[in-house]
Parts: sequence; structure tokens; C-alpha cells
Amino acid sequence: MLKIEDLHVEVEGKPILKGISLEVAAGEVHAIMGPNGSGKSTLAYVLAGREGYEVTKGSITYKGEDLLEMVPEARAAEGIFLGFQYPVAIPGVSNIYFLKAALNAIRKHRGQDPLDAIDFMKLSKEKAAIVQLPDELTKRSVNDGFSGGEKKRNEIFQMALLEPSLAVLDETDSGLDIDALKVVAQGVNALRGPERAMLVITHYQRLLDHIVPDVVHVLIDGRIVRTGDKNLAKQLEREGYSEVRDAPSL
Amino acid sequence: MSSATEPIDEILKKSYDAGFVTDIEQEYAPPGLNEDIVKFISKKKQEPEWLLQWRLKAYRRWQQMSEPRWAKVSYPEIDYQDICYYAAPKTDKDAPKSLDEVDPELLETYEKLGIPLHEREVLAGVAVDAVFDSVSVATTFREKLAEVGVIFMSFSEAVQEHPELIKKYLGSVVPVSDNFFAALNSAVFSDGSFVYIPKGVRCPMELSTYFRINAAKTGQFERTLIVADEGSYVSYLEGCTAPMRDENQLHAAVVELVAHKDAEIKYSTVQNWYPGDENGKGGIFNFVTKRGLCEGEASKISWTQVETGSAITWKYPSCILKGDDSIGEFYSVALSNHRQQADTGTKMIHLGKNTKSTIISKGISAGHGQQTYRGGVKIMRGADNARNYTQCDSLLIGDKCGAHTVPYVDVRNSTSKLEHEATTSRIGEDQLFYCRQRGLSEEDAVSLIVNGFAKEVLKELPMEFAVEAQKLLGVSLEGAVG
Amino acid sequence: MTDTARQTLLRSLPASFETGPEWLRSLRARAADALREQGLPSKKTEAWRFTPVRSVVDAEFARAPGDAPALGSDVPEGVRARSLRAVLGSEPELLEGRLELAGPPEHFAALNTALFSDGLWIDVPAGTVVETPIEVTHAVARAGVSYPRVLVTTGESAELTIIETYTGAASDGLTNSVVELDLGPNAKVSHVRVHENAGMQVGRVDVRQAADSRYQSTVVTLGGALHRFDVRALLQGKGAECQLDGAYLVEGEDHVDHHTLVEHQAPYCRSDQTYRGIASGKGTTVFDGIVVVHRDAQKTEAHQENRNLLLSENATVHTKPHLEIDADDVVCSHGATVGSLDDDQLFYLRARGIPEDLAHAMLTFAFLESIVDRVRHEPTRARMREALLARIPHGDEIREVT
Repeated sequence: MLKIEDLHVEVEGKPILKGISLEVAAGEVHAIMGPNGSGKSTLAYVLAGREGYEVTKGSITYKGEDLLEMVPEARAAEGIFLGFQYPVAIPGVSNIYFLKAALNAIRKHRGQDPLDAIDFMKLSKEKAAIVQLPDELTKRSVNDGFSGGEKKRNEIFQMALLEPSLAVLDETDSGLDIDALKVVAQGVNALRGPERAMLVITHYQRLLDHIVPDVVHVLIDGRIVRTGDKNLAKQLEREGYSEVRDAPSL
Repeated sequence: MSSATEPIDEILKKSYDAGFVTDIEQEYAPPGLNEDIVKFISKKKQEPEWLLQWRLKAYRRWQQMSEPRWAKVSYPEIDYQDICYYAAPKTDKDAPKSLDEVDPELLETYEKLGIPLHEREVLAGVAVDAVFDSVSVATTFREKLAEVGVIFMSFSEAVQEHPELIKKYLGSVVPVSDNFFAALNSAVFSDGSFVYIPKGVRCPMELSTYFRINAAKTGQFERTLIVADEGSYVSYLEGCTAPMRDENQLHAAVVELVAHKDAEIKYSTVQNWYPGDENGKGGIFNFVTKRGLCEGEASKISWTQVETGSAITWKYPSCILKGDDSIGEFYSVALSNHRQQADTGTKMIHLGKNTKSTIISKGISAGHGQQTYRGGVKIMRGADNARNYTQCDSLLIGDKCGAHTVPYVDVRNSTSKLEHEATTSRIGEDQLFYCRQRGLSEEDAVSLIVNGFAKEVLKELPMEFAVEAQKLLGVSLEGAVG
Repeated sequence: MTDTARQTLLRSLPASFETGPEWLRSLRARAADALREQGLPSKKTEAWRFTPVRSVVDAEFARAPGDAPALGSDVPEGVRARSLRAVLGSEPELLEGRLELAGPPEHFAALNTALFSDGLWIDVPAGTVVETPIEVTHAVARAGVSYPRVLVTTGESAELTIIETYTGAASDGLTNSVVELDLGPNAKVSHVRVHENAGMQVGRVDVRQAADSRYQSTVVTLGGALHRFDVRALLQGKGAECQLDGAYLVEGEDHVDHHTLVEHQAPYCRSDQTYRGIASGKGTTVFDGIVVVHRDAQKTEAHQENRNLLLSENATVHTKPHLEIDADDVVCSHGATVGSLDDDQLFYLRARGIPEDLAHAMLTFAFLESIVDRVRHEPTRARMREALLARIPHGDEIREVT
């Protein structure tokens, strides 16, 4: 589904990603782990098409197409979802209205009819239940005045509603207490399926106890230094990033 | 919200939908202004002598006045002798008595504007007094309103049928010499609407007037007078469009509101006069005087406006809070795109005790648009415990536009309390990206964020107007980003 | 437009200027010509609509002897302070092009340019950090009009604190002052002004700021028959910052009028204004603050706040915070409030046994003290605090309890 080859990315002239190659097939969950500043969020933003991230070398192919050619909304319509580390507030715009506009834009792209208000509300209630998002939050302005945990739950709620093919979850666990983490992880697990790939970006192994990955990559200083199975994450937890970086590749 | 199901793309494609010209026979006065023209207009309307004298007095005052130049707008000089001060569709007989009698081409005009009279009649229950250029052509629901004693008719009819009310209230809030444009209007106003709500009556429906400037080189000078007697309530909607023309057209209206004891008037405007093209060619010069007098105790006047049109907007709907415990409100969204310039705001004059005013103003500038909030809050000596809260926020889209905030505050009572807050910011790149990541196009994202920014004001509008206003904001911002 | 012949203050303008260097004579002549043509402001001039300016413009004043301010204490090491008259006499070339740094002056500043006879030039060379404040006192001892003029120039990374005090009990005098400050790159100037003279005063401060410079102004105005001050900061270099603070208080029939103008002409600049005023008696206060953000001044951050307490039935507060923004990537805000003392706070103090009038005074003092607290130089802060306490009822008691 996703193929990244020798990806180099600069931000304001400073190299951040220095040659990343990665392949994710449908149905797989890959975790990307790394210390702060290793380039994890940069990778997420490049996948979603944020401006200011300049690809100087390499390619990203998504469903056989050149992803880098697409504008952000086209990527979204093609099924890429980014769960933001810091979801921004949009005062005055209700969450539910926002999502309906987004879902119908995506449906339009897929050649589907827009959902009417009644069907949408039904769908929304169903999906909100997955992450136990209170009804009241779906009606408030997008992320406005939400707590950290509420924001993250809202992200997963949106993911459930938009049903992406590739979900990129950037530090979805940061700022969550253990109960909230379980709820969010349950939400994510509920969405795992043979047609859907996920890229779970995290600093901590903790999340991966709840969302068990098929493949784990360790990203340090813009390069993937190790790739392994879920046990690599455990090893990282025990030994720390520097040990893993210095150890010979498996 | 219901506009979610609308394909927004389609709306964005639209440029100025109301920009067609109705081909209909018109009756004009020759261009230019002098006492004879004033007399001609008065005679055409078969006005009583006192009204003619009132107009002439205004005309003479106007001659001694000069155009105000303090607003932050610039425009070419207006040649007042090159404007027609009277244009009316020629009809065989007197004004039509029912919709069936209305010229079908006129009805089609309203159809294109999206205000089919029939449909409104049936579905929305809105009585529409449509002003086509200078003459009111159709007033619906009059009979139903008459049952509860509500008077809703064109200004000229009211002059004939209720001269005592007109004589009592005309110019009582905006005197003829108030300002240059008000004086001009007083001299040459051709028609408008009159509303009287009797004591204790809650007007059973929203009253609505669509104004439309059609004839080329025609100025529109309508006059609206709304009187809410003790304990009554009325909600009045005003919509404005004008055809696309290369030359500028002048619109100088006067609106006067009077609220007696315990009465409430809610006045909503969606102003979509032709703004001119991308390069600033054409468009309406909108110089409007709107003022409400909270005459009686515990009366309330609330202005809500959505201003997306006009090349130049010069407009300050105001409240004089004379009655103790009276309330004034001003909610405004003003948008300037391309070369539009808007200098708008409000004045709240607190005279009575325990008077309260709220001002929420949201200005949006895009393209080369220039936007100025100009507001005045005066709390006079006797206004014990007066309260004012003002919030004015500006949103900038692009680096060629401007946003200016000019509040004047004058407080002379030590038991009063006033708060003013203002912010200026741009649409955040992170907000746009977030929306686009969820699949919205950049235009839709902008429209969404702008509507969110303006929400506090839009929610004050009656439902069907709110939807229209939202769409308008989207359309008006076409091409503002990217 | 304005009837300049009626403006008696202009009668002292000479027909021609015969002394001083050529460049100064031409500055003076140009200022005089402009005044003869446009006159001094009237109530119809937008920026003067709330100022009873006629009482100044149409009054008769004798020329008070000497415009030179006094240096209150020893000049701190590293600072060069010289008399303008002396420099203009011996080395006029040093000052050429350095007066009128914000462009040709108008109104009262133009009158000062035409008529000042002496003044001070304070210069701090590049890299010099002066910790001890330099103190400048303008004493208005006699009736009449005086035209004080101060020029402050600082080299790159120089640092200086100036304390200017205007004193004097003559209620029928007029002080028309111009202070200009030219801040080099990365220079830091803290400028304190205390106005405690009883008479009339019109003062202008013009500041020009190079990149990364920082100007902090704290103005304390304690009454006055008619005091009108204009501070204008031109942020011309990238990353410059200015902070303009003011505390003012009127009683009796005082009129105190503060105008600020901050022009963001370069990107990444910051400005912050906080003015607080108290109006009592039959006094009037005016605050008119303008922030202009020019098209190229992206990444500007500008804030402005004016808070007022209106403490009597016959006092008047005018406030007009004003933003003019022509760049889009900016964060700007302003706020203004007018109100009286907080009833809950008053009650709290009284419930603890503090008599009502003292409670009033304490809250009033605290309201203004927050401005003084923003001055970083401790001894200066203490002095300003004293100046406030001297004017506030129960000042001695408050000094003891706070």
C-alpha cells in the first residue's frame, strides 16, 4: 500500500530525514519509535502533505500513485488519515459539522452520494461510542477547550468516521493517562482490518502493549537504524535508544 | 447546519449571482438635483404639503453641508448632478393589489435572487415588501398582519394612509440635518417601508424587505421607519442586492427605529450589494444612516448585519438608550475582498439608568480589502449603572489587505462599567492544514474557518438568513487564498 | 482652515532666523513656515478633539528665561551630557541631521524646533552600559512659556536609564517640550518621566529604534491644568521592541491627555502598551493609542491596554485604542476598560477592619502601582512610588501597610 524509498526531507534548509525506506502492506500495523527530534513527526507531516517540508530526494508511492504529487485534501480523499500530535482548535466550527463536511468531501471524491443529516448523525453516534466520546464533545467547536485526552479521543473518533486506508497516528499516546490510553487503543484496534494499514508513531513502548504492531522500526537522527518485530519495542524499553542504535542490526 | 449538504464547490464557482439586469420599462426623473426635482418626486407621490416642505428643508440643509471625509475609505468624487433621483417601473394602473397583478418579469427577478414570493408565502411564512428601485411593488400578508393591527406597507402608502404616524415619527431619530447623506435622503427618498406594531402585539411573522437597485445610473434612497409601541415585538429582515454594472451607484438609505416601553425591535440585514469586480471597477457606494431610539423603559433594539457587498460601505447602525433599563445590541460581520472598503461599526449612547449595550464585531479582510471598525460608546452623566461590552475581532487573509480598529470611548458616569476587547489575527496555517488533512479543499477550509470566526454573529440571524449569510461569506471569499 | 492670526502663541515666531548654523536656521524657518500656514491644532483636528487646546493656543505667555533643563545629579560615568547651545556654538556639525529624527515636526513640536534656545544632548557610545540613571529636571519656576529640548543618542548595544522630572508650582506656565531618542542596534533605553508640575504642558517624545533595540518608557502624570503628551516610537529595525507604560491621575479640574503611536515598520518587532488612569473630581483623562503595522512588518506582535477608574460623578474618561494593520502575519490586540473600584475587594478590606476611605485609597494606589512595578531599576521604582504616594489620600498610611 505504502512504499517509501530513500526519503530525504529538509525543513527550513535543515536535513531532518536522511534516507528512509519503508514498505507497509494492507492489513499491517507498523510502529515507528524514536527519541525526540529523530524525525518521527516530520515523516507524518510529509505523508499528509504539509507545506514547509521539502523532499530533496527519494519517493513515496501510495496505492501505486506518486503521493508527493497530491495536495493534502487529495491524500485525505484517497484514504490517508493523520492523527495529529497536537490537534489545533478551530473556534466556532462545530466538530460534527466539520466532520460531516469532511466526510462528504471524501465521499464525493469516491463518487458516493453525500450522507444526509439523519444518516450522518446515526453514523456519528455509532463511531463516537467506539472511543466513548461524549455526545456533548461532538457538538463543541473542533478541539476548542478540549483536554489533551479529549483531543486524542476526538482524533480516533474522526478516524473511525472517515474510515481511512492508511492511518498515521502521531504520538497518539502522549499526554494520556493509562485509562484514556486503553480507550484510545481499543478504538484503534477496533479499526484494524485486512484492508487497512497503520503507521503508529510513538516515543514510548507503552502504547505498543495495547496496539500490538506487526513490525517495529527505530528512527534515530533521520534514519531507520533497526527494524524488527514487537520484541524490538520491548528491547528498547529495557535498554534505551542508544543501546539499540549501537547494537548490530538483527 | 443545513448548508452542509450543499455542494460548496458549486457555491464557490458562483461569482455574483444577483448581477443581472431586469429589462422592464422604467419611468425616470431627469438626472440632477434641484428644488424642482424634489418637488417632482413629492408630486409623483402625491404627498401632502408638509412633507414637501420637510423635503425642501432637508434639501436646503444638504446644500450647505459637505460630504464627510473622516472614514477610512477612498473613492472618486460623486457627481450628485449626474444621478437620477427617481425611477419607477411603469405600470398601467396603480400599485398591484395582489401577486397576480405583479409584472411577471419582476417576479422572475425575485425568483433569480432566490426569494420567490409565492414560496416564501407558503413555506416560510415571511411577508415580503419588495422594493424595486423606488416603488414598492408587492406587499404580501398585509391582511393577515392587519388582523392583529400591524401596519406593514410601503412608505408612500403609509404617507397616504397613516399621515399622523409618519408626521410624528419621520425624522424623530435621524433629523434631516444629521449628516450629509441623511439630508440627501430626506430630500429625495422615493420609497421604503413603514412598520407599526401596536401596543402589546407580538408580530406573528418575520417582516422582510428586499431592496434592489436595477436601473442604471440610479441612486436608491429608501427610507425605513419602524415603530414598536409599548410591549410589542418585531423582527425585521432586510436583504440587498444590485445588478453588476461598470459604473458606481449610490445608495443612501435612512432607517429609523423607535422602541417604546418594553418593546423590542430586532433588525437584521444581509447586505450583498454589488461589490465591484476584482479590480475595483463598479460597485455600490453604500452610505447608510441607521439609528434606533430606545425611547421607553426596558425597551430593546438589536442590530445584526452581515455585510459582504458594496464597493464602499459607510454605515454605523446605532442605538440611543434613553429609557431606563433599555438595551442596545450590535452584531456585525463585515467582509472586504478584492478592492472593497468598509468603514462600519456602531454608536451606543447611554442616557438612561441601568442601560446595557453589547457590541460584537467581526471583520474579515482578504485580497486588497480594507476593513475598519469604527465604534463609539458614550456613557453620559445620568446613566447610572450603565454597562457596555465590546468585542471586535479582525481576521486577515493574505498580505495585501488591511484591518483597522477605531473605537471611541467616552465615559462620564462613575457607576458605569465598560469593557472593550479587540484582536487581530490571520487564518492559521495549522488550521488550514488540519482541515485539508480531513479532506476539505482549501477554499472550503477557509470558508469553514471564517464561518466559525463569525459564528457569534451569525447565530443572531433568523434561520433562513443565517444560511444565506454563510453561503455569502463563502462566495465572497472566492479566490482569497492560494 | 485654522485662523492662525488668532493663535497668540504663534506671535512669538520671528520673521527670520539669524543665529546658529545654516542647517538649524533652515529647520527653524521650515517649522515656522509650516506653523504660519497650518497653525496650531484646534478642536477640529482629529488628534486634538478631546484636548481643550484653545486655552494654550490663544493664551498670552511671556517667554520664560532659559530652556535648559538641569542635571539632577552627577552625570554617570560613560555618559556624555552637553548643552545643546554649547554644541551648536562650537561643533554644530555633530548635531546636523540628528534633530527631527522622526521627520518634520508639526504643531507644538514645530514650535519648539523654531524657538528652543537650549537643551541637552545625552550620548552613550557603542558598547557602554550605564547602570546609574541620569537625572534630568525641568523646573517650571516662573510663569511663561519654555521650550525644553533633549536629544538622546545611543550607539550599538549601549544601555541607559534616564529619569526626567517636570516640576514646578506655577499654574500659569506652559512647557512645550520635545525629547528625541535615537537607539542604535541592540541598544536598551529605559526612560522614566514624572510629570508633577501644576501648569500646562505639551510634550512630545520621538523614538527611533534600530534592530533589536529596546525602549521602555514609563510615564507618571500627576494632575496638571492641561497636560498633553505624545509618545511616538518608530520600530525601524528588525526585532526592535518597545514597551510604553503610563500611570496618570486627575482631580479638581485637571486635564491629562496621553497619546501614543507605535509604528511597526520592520518585521519581528514587538510592542506592548499599558496605560492606567484614575479620574476623580471634575477631571478629564484621555488616552489615544495607535498601533500601525506596515505591510512589510510581518511577525509583528503588538498589544495595547488602557484601564481606567472613574471615581467621581463629574469626571470624564475618554479612551481610544486604535489598530491599523496592513500586514497579515501578526498578533495584535487591544483592550480598554472603564469602571469603578471593585465592590467585592472594597468589602473584603472593610470586613478586615480597614476604614472605607483608606480601603479606597489602597485599591487606587494598587491600581497605579502595577505600572510603576514594571520599572526594573529599583531605586527609580521606589522614587516613582513615593511620587504616587504623595498624591494619593492616606499615602502615609499606605506606605506603612504595603
